[in-house]
Amino acid sequence: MEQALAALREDFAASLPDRQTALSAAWDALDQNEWNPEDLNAAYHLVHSLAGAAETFGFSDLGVAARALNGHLHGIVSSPQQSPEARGEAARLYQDLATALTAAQAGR
Amino acid sequence: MPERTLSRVLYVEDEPDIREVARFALEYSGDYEVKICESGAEALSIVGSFKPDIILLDVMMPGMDGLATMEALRQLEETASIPIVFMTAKVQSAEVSRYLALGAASVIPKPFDPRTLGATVKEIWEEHAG
Repeated sequence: MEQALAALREDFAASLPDRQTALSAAWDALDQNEWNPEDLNAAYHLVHSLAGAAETFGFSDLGVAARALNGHLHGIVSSPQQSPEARGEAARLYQDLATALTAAQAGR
Repeated sequence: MPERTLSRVLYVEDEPDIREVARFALEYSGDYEVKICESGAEALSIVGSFKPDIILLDVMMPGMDGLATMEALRQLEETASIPIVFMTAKVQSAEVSRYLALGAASVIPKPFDPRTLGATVKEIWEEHAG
């Protein structure tokens, strides 16, 4: 079992560069398009996916960072109004996640 | 202990990576057949033919989420009494209490341990199967 789990973990680790690229593009789109709902949902689903998978595969720091942004974005997605403060906090959490993504790839 | 044995597990999960781990963990650890669905809608379309003994539901899914899926499953005669387990990272006590009050048999926290998932599911089924 351990061998198979290690292989699945390695597959996930190998997906991190593509995930980082996709997330970066989604975040750029969010900034450029005034946080329209479509871009917000796209970014949210990327982060949600990353949060669940990172924790499952034992990337704890990455999982914590993704979970924090995921929870914050979930609140924004559910809210009709987005305050500048909420967007600012999201930007801060996104930077934390980007840093964690880079560290996870370096630590493979 | 129920007279029947656990033979079919349905897991509904939108995340491909987690589906892979769950499928592996469940098939590896048990003698049961595992069916994985990507959405609540897909689950509803196959429960009649697959006839699961227990259903594991991710809570946060796009479209029909886990709670809505459970509600729909409870409306179907063939799935109304099947134990349903929520798989979620949101395991604060208030949320767990709410899931249980809504009719879930149990809640398995995410991230789950692939090494023990099969045994956990079996324990829950043995506790709740009629």
